[in-house]
Amino acid sequence: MIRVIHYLNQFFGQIGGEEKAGIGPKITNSAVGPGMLIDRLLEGRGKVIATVICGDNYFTENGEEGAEEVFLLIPRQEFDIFIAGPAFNAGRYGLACGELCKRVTERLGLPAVTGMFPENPAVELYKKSVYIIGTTGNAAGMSKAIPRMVNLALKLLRGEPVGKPEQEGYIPQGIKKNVLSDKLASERAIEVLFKKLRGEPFETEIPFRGLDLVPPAPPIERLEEATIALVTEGGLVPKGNPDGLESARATRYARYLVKDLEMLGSDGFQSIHRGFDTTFINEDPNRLIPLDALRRMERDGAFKRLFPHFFVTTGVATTIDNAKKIGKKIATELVSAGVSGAIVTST
Amino acid sequence: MDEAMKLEMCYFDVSGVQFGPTTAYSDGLLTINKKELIGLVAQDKRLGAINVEIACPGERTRITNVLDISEPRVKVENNDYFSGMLGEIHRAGEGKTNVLRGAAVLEIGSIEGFYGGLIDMAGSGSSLTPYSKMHNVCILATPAPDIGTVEYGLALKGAGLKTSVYLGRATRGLEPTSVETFNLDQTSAHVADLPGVGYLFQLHSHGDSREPFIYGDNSRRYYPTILHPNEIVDGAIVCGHYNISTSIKNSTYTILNHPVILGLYRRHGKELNFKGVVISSEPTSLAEIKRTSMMAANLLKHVLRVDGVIVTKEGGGHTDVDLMENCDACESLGIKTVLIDNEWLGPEGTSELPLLAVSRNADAMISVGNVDAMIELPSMERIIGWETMPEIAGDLRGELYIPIRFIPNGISQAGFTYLTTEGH
Amino acid sequence: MLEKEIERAGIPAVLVTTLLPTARMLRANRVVPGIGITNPLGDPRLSPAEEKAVRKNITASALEALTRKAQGDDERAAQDARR
Repeated sequence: MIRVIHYLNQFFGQIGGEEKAGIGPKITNSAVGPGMLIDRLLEGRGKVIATVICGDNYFTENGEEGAEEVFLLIPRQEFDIFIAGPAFNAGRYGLACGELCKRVTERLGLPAVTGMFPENPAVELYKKSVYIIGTTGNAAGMSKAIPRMVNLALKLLRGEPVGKPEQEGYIPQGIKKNVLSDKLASERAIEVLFKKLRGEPFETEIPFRGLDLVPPAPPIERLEEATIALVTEGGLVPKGNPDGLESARATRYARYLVKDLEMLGSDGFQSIHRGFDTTFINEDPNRLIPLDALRRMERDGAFKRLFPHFFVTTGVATTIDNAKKIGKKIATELVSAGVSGAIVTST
Repeated sequence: MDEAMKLEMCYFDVSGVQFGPTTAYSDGLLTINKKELIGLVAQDKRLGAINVEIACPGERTRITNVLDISEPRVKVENNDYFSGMLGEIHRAGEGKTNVLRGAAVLEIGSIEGFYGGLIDMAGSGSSLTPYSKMHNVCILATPAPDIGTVEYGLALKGAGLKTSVYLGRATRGLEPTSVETFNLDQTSAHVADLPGVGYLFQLHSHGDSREPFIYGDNSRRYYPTILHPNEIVDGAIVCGHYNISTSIKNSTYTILNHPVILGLYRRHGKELNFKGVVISSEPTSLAEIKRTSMMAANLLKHVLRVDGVIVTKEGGGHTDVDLMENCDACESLGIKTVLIDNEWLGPEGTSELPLLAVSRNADAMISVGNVDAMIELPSMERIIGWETMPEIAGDLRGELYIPIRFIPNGISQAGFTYLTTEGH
Repeated sequence: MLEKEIERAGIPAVLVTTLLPTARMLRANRVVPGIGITNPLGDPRLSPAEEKAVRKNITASALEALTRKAQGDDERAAQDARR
């Protein structure tokens, strides 16, 4: 009889919505909500013997103590596999699922599988140590995700080798393993050369992921005549976020006038960046965009002119594609405005 | 009259090796007069204690402290081989060469600063190396007292090569199992219509005991130059590396049976026009690297006139820079490149950067595996070589958990391997 | 990421961040070390006057970086390899 422990957040655990995100952990002795799909899949061979439910905020905002408290509910009973979520694109839920799976794997030595949308910010943090089945962005993909999660967990339970991400459905862990090909490397090289010479599509065996190389722009020759612009990915916006700039997974940017400002005041600006503690920046926004220092240097003649606007986006969970698009748009504005150089600040 | 460079490789297949009263080859069986062979090797006073042992496929034998591996061969015309290293210099790549195919000669030695390899003839480790399927004649030689590392290395090299020729001579006057002819001119009329392909062979050149010999001279003394492929598979280049890891040098055996050269040769006149080989050293400063890559690319483009080139390197991460410079130099002249390289991914295979240099032009790479990956080896019954090796803890007879870089051709930068990486 | 797009458009851009290994791996052309993730150009542990001085230094370095020829990726790779 395969014994499954399932983890759900307050919403999928049928306790409530965002308003219940602060609830502490509970455990029930049966399947809840999506867990019933697991029961159906394993009918006759296994079932969910316990469901741990916890509010997303409780898990992520109580540090190590909170996480440990939730985790300790799991080994209270003997079990065979642990399933968490799937969390789809929910960041806090993803963090909880990833962290619990990691602890189950490392401390209990038992199979643990979760599921997330590939752009869930928790993926980058946990993909190497935890198997994360790729899911849709919302719960519409539940019926596809759960079977994949369970199948992978059963494979781990049986000690079978885990296949490639494309075969098993998990998000590539960024791990490369040595395997024996059926062809000599030299033969594969000759075959790829033929494809390249014929203009046919070919694949490289060593991709340089994300290593987009940019030739350096020529330096500023006369700083005293230069216009300098400030750019940040730290999500600094006027208080109240009037343009509704995204706090994560940004698809756009904004620009704000600082022409007549000597510095950025904490009453006027805030950071809406979701990826770090914004307290210090909110206390003094110049810690993110050094307007005060630059304004002084402008007055002292170090450079000619501070561009009247600063540009802002939020650099957390941004897809590489969106980051590039945003960057290109900002670059275009700077070029047409005749800006000589840019200072980009990042958290 | 213009004679093309024509080489006839006469293969004498080996199905067994044993010691016996006379060194001879008959019906696949190679017999070795151990005393005579030891006497021959002992002539070099730079060597101390000398022994010869045999390892056959399937035995639970672990061969340790392997420094280089070559193949028993002899040139019929002059009864010698490895031009420039032994005897009088002669042009490699023409005439008749007898090869005892299926046998290998291993130099087993140890001195502070040398990095040896390890070959398992059975068990899981045997699938990682081609030498587990060969009949290995192992020459064990310690250094004479007070001998320096460079001299010891040269002496060991001499021992290995002399042994290879000594054994090769057992085939004189006999009929080979098969013959393969290497002649770039002997081809169909339409070869000019086929794509012109070349091979760029980067050779390590970072100093004594860390570089191969070309016709007996150190590689660092060479500018990029053109060699006929026949010369390379006929002993003109010999491995001289001792103080670099097994995984990042090409053994003499690999060079004699160079998979890229043989692969291109066997398609010559059918699918491609094999234009030739450029050998190029791997210098130690960026300025020299840039000069070398420019000159090598010039030769490929304007002298050999290739449309595409395969490039391989030797060495550690430093030489990823040479690889990328060569790639850029070739691609900038319109030559399509394919590069073979190993990856440096750490023991878990998780490093974000697989190589120590990158290029936008390196869009067609062939991976020969993660050199940092760990492998488990079972215990063995017999050890040839010494019971210990630097860098590997404990008794070598037992179970081992070591990085794959100790296995000769486990990682093969010349592409003589089936190992590669798979993304998980 | 942003500074690379700006550089790509031909305008020199310098990145101020504390995450130097990341900046290096992603091959940002000009990088100046920041103080912390939560405060790249500030240090709440210092007095306001000290903090302003630190900010001025980092900002001056950033401006200076814009006037210097940036290392290209091949020079950097060769440097990495020689280490």
